[in-house]
Amino acid sequence: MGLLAGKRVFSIMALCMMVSLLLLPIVVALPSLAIGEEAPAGDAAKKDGDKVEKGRDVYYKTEGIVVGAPAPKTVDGPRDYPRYNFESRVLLWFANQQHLYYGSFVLAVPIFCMIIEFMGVVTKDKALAKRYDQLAYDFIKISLTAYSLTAILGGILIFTFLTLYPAFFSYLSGIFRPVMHIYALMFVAESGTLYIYYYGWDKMKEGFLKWIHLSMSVILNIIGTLLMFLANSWIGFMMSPAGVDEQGRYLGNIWHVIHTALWNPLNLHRILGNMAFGGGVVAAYAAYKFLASKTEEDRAHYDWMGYIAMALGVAFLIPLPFAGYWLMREVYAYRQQMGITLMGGLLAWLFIIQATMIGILFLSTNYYLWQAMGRMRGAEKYQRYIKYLVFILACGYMVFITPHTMVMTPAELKAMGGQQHPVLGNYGVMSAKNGGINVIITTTVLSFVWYMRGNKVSTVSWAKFGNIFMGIFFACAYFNIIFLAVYGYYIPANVRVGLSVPQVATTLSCLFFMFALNSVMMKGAKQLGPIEWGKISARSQYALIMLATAFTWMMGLMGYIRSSVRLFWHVNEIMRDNSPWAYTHTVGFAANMISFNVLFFWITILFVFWLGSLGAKKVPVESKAGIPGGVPQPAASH
Amino acid sequence: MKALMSLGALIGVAGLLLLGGMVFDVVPSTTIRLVEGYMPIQMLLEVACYVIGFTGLSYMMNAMGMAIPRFWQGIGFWVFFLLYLKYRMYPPIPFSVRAMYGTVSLVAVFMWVSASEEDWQKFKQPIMNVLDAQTGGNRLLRYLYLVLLPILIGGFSFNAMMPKSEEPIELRTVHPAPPASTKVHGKTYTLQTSQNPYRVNPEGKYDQEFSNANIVEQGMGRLMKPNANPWDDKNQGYLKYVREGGEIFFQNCHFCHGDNLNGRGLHAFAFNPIPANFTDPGTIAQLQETFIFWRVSKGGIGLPNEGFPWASVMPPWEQHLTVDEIWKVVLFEYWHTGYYPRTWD
Amino acid sequence: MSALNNPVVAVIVSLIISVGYFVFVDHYLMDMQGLDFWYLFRN
Repeated sequence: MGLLAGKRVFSIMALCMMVSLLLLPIVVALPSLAIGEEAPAGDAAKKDGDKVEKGRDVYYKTEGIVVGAPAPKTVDGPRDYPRYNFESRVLLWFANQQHLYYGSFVLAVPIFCMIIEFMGVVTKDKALAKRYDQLAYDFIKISLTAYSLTAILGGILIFTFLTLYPAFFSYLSGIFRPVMHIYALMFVAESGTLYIYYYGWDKMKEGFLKWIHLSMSVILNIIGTLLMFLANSWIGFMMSPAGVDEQGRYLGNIWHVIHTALWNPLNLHRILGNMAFGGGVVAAYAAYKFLASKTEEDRAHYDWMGYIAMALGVAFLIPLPFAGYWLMREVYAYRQQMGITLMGGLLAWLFIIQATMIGILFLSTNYYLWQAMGRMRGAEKYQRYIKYLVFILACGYMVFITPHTMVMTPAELKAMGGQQHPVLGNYGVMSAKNGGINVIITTTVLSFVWYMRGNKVSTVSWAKFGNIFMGIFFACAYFNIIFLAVYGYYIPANVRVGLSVPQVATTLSCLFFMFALNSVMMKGAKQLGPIEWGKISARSQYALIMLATAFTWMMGLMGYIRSSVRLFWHVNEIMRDNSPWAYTHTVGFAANMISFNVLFFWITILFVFWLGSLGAKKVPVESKAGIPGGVPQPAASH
Repeated sequence: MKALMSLGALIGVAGLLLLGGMVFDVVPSTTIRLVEGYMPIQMLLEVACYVIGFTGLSYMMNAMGMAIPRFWQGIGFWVFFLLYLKYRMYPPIPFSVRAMYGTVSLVAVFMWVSASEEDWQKFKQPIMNVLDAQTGGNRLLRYLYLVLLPILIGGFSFNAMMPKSEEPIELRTVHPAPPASTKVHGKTYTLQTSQNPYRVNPEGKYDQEFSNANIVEQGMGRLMKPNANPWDDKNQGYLKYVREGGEIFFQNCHFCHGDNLNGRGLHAFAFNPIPANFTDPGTIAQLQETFIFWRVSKGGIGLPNEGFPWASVMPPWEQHLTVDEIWKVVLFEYWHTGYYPRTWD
Repeated sequence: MSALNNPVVAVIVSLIISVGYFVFVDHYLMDMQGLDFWYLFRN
């Protein structure tokens, strides 16, 4: 009893410590904020009482007292752009991308941990709860090594900035001085929380202590998310500066500098993207372990792990295009030029590649789900209809990737009689593409519904009506999406852009209503047979690896697009890039570079996985002792 | 069910015959016309019809005891789709796009034949048979592959290495991002906010609703709205300016852009690429009016850096026309094609 | 409930609900943005 009370006191103390760690940066930052804002202004006022220089915020249009130095006008040379015999920008690109891959991975995994641990706590099934708990622990174990790698890569990134772009970095850090310090302190808080969370796992696994442990994961994630928001404020500032005047002089309002036009859309987009990416990486890890495992139990465990990770990843993948759409809208609202450069101009080709990748993501997801039906008895009834789903998906996909401006030889151009193809040219515009992607997502929802009812037969009294209703609802949804896509051609552009909202709403209606209806219908349903975890084809696991690779590649691509839309600016319209590398790379070079980054990331993450398995060599004794009944049994077999 | 399937089979056979005719040039590919305005959906529906037809066909063959092996079904469908793209679609689709579609359909066929374990076994069987080479025929095939595959790969490499004299492919940016503002005849126009001064109602106020209501009818053919004939002398405001714009267009622009505004004027085919086709939904229909104003004023020579390789011979019309004339021409182009300029609100 | 399990009744009821729902979605979501969903049909 005394021991338990001691543990309780210990855990409450730990929690309090974390909360105070969370608050620490803010407390520390308060004076620095005050200094940052007032002291220089005070100095200026002392020197020249009546000559306080005022500036106008480029974005918020408010007046402010000039505090900072103007953005340096750099010249190409060893002072502003010291270099090796190599393109500095590419080095920076590499360092940045690797840091981001690891950063988003270690931000995403604790969120998964939190969700899975929570599921474990609320599940009534004891064996299942244990399995969830073990899974969450496995997840955090992977992320621990990745965490230190993230920090190392962050260091490398800063050194790269300092040594290769000193003028730019000193300008940026001049403006973001307090933010950067808060960032560093948050990082300390994050580390502290993470280690307590990880090492306290076994000590706090019962009853009240478990809840404390769970709330630690919440705090951990809050810190992580805030960290990312702060980092986002820098790129947001570089894309859509605010809080400075036209010469780039800081006007003393740090909130304006952080809260730029694109900050919030970027935040949302990055959270969702990280989650999808994290899910993909963990799923790939599970797939790799599945393919390498030698026993049935291992296969069952990693099959299940891969499934959960995939489901979580896809759950965040589905809203991702909509967050992207919001970001695009804000980009257009901020600078129409920037939007056109992205979507219709210089970078439009990259969006075709992006569309291809998005399609691959959804196709692999569907493929995985169809394969996964193989582990249930009774799902055979759906398998003969899969070919029609393939057809619908392929049609949606082809429309979605049709480029607006086609690559063609001059001879083909003449044969076609113009830049635009009279049939396919129509697929190249937004209206058709929205239709295409919504058809793909709706089909994915349908696959999920089929998967969820694969081995079950509904026993509710209105089952027949329910089935017919679901069929008709899906049919009408498809019809509505396609109708809206076609309708878009007949109405003016300003009305047309609005059509995407009902289109998206249709897809989301399918998602929510059909999932809800399905779970109501399947409550207490008759099971035709258990889900036999581990009885899945190897092809499905390759689909998971494909999914993860596509995620990684796409993340690299989108990051490149977001960054290169600034064209020849370090800070858009404030600080010009005068290095010899202020041009936009060719599509081919960018693609090779992204592929290199992806390859490098996967090689290093394999190393991280391997490290994890090294540690696991000792663990089995412990974990087997910790879990009554030995190796966890597959979830649905109970 | 059986009747339905035989109907499907009938569609399948008819479709295949038609496509076969097109491949061997017996039937021209315009036999079943692609209806303007409905073409994209028509194409999808046609392919869907084929799929229904094939389902019926395979069902009937099965019932007659002549089931087509899964392996050949897969390959057959893929070949069908490639032929469809090549011979059915007119005007011809560029190779790059056909390659994309071909890859997607190959992936789709793979997903179809490997969706369930049973299907996948059936699909793999012929390949496995050849690899195992239990029978004489299969052994022969295996040896044949042993010889043919290296030759094929060698051929591909040779083809890839051989120097070619084709013109290089251009990734041309047709609508580069415009500048924030442009200076024409000494006056600066902000592209995001400027308006066409002639898009006015009879009272002389800027009125987009009014002008949109008077443009040419889209869809099947281009017909003027009743009571909206610009060549009626009584017209004031918008329609009067459309007529004036039309006169300017036919004095200056139609030699290249064509009297139907479809980019096929008298001189069009002397240029590469040919001039912009305004009737296409991808050109003026998705641009702001001020974008057109900027492009017309500055011409091909005024394209920004990202417009590389500046493949446009359009003269900077500001040197030949007044600002008013340019606005009127733009007005006419939208009126005649039946499109609305893009707006951002 | 038993009437609903008659396929014909079920199809009709489902069609009414689904079509009604999607028309509602189309109309109100366009209306919310200050746009007119019936643009083409009114002209």
